[in-house]
Amino acid sequence: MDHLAEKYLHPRKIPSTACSGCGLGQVHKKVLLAIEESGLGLDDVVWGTGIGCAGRQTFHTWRGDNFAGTHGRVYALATGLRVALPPEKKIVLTVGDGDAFGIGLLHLLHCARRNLGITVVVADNFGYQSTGGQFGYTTPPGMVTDSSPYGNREPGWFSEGSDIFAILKDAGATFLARHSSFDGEEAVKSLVLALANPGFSLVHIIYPCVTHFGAVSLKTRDREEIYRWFAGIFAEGEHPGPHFQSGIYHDARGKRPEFASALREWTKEFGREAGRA
Amino acid sequence: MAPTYTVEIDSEGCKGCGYCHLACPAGVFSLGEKTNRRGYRAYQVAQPEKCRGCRKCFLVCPDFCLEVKVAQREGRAG
Amino acid sequence: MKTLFNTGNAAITEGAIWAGCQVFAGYPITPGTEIAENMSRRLPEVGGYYIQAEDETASLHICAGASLGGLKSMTATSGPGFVLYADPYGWAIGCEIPVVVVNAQRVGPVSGITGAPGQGEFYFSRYPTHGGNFETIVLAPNSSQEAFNMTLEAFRLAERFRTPVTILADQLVADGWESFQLPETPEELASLGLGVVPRLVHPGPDFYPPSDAIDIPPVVLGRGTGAAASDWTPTEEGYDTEEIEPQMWHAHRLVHKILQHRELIDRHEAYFLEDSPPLVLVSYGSPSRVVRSAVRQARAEGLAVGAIRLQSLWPFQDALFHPKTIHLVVELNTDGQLVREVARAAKGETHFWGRCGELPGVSELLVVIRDILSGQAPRSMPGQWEAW
Repeated sequence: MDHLAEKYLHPRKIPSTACSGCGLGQVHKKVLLAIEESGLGLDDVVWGTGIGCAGRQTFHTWRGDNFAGTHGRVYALATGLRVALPPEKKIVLTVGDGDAFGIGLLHLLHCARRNLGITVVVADNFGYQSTGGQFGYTTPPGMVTDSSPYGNREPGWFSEGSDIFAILKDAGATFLARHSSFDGEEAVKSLVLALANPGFSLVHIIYPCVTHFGAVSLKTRDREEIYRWFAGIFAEGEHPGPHFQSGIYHDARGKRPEFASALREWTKEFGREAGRA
Repeated sequence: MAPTYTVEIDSEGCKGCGYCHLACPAGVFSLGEKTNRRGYRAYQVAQPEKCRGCRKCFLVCPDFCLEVKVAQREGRAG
Repeated sequence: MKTLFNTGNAAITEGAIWAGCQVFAGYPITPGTEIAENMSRRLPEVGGYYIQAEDETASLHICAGASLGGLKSMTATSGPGFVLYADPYGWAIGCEIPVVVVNAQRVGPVSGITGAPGQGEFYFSRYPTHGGNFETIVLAPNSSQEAFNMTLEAFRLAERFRTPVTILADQLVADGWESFQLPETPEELASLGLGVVPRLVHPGPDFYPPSDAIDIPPVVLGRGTGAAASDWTPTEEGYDTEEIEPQMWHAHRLVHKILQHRELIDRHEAYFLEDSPPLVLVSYGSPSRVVRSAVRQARAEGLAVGAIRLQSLWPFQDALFHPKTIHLVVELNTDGQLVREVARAAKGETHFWGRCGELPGVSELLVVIRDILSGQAPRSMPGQWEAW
């Protein structure tokens, strides 16, 4: 195990049961590097996980306090937890694209609307891979998957030039960044900013799933081909597959009140006024 | 003398994904011969002397089984 | 001791405040909304937090998360919202996190009638989520006073059993105005047989021991215990597992921590059973008050009839029902739910009187009582009744 796992993780869960070539561990590692770089320890972060590969592979790896949430609802659990915890306790949620942009989007949007003080790390493998590789709402168009055997015809959150980040930004999120799981220090830097944001941060990290997305959609399990394809979708210029821009999409840190702190302050003030009355 | 680095792979934790090899600009890694307890052929540090400490391998290793350390620093302090 | 004149919803609010509830998350729905409204006014007065959620699924998740963070919490709804609690209800059961859930039943199915009483979630409140491998605690008030008392009791049981507790009221109890006693001191509270259990903190990092013990504090995050709340089947240390043996221990704990301590939960009222009458009426919630009047009047006419009024519904109190007794179950639904449990438990002659949205009349019940006691075939009634 490396120094990060020794410092922060339950040894029993490392290595994870993820497939060889699965990039989720890259996402997991970058979050830990950001935590380390932010000078945070086991008592400073409460780690929540969603359901799916991202949730399953990160659940109860964090040696500090942690919890697993129901599919798409870890954001609502975190809302209650946020109100109960002191503001300096960070809440980090590692979830998948299905959890966040599928079943959980309603709750995610309301967390953004409230500017809830949480850091949501969406590890996106372009579909519902832990259930065998069905398309999701970020799966590129035309891709063959177990549930789109004739090619994915569904308009997704990134079809026709749209971007789910535009919706999250308008909903009120105060920090949004996107990276490939192969990105190095820049991804860590964005995660550090996300953690520092008192309000709602979401970092969307796209990573390779070899077993389903690779084998079925990209029709290859070859690591180099997958490595090149994922590098390509973030590159400039013409290439097959979708296009993504890595880096900070929206940074309004500190520009909106954080939901739980505002509620706590208002309640304290209300109590003082009632006391005086 | 430029600093040298040690690169270590915990072969039992490695799943042979090869991302370290693909990310390394200096060709430090190669697929090992041994199959570990989990049935994966782990990668190995074939040419450690080539390492320039860029840590790209560390940043793309998904399985927390690779470490890059500064071996020793010659000449100028720090 | 103060005497208040207010609705069941208001009584539930005061009960929750007394119990130390600090977070209420809810979603507007008749006839449960007034609990949310009262909470939005009362909680700030005691330093608590009212959160209006995007739907009922979020409401109970928010309450469960607040409880996971160490704050006692409650949510309230009616039938159509209670169905959306299934996912977070299961989360709270599996993670063994206390939370109080109020359901003011109305007429169904689906949107049905909002301003009329029903009792359509009798079975649903026993199985409020999927998966099996658990028991549930459900209390059923029939007055403003009991709405207050049972809310306090629900919070106490939730803490002691590390589990969600449901208060299954109906629209008449929720909206009905009645006077009720509001204690002002712990002594006055104790005089009503009520008490408050403080929220303690599980030391962690391991999960709960594989035993049916209660009074083990729930996991609370943010206190540096390194504890985990897992909605995956957990090992003793809290790791998710696919092994069957840890699953058996987890299921054993969830079922038997409740079944082994029924004396803390079981509660019922009995009327005119001293002489073991041949016919006993069985009911809960607001119809039980008409049943009591009908039985009192029948006794005045010399008819040998008694009544059992269930105050705790689940775990079901089989021991109250005997084969030699004829049971007439009175419910606010027309499909018959409580009657199935009574028939199963009694294994004797069982009859059903059911109508949704409107209480039975005393005279209506007297007709049925006289028919059954005289051995005649019960006449068909709008609510239809037959040997079950």
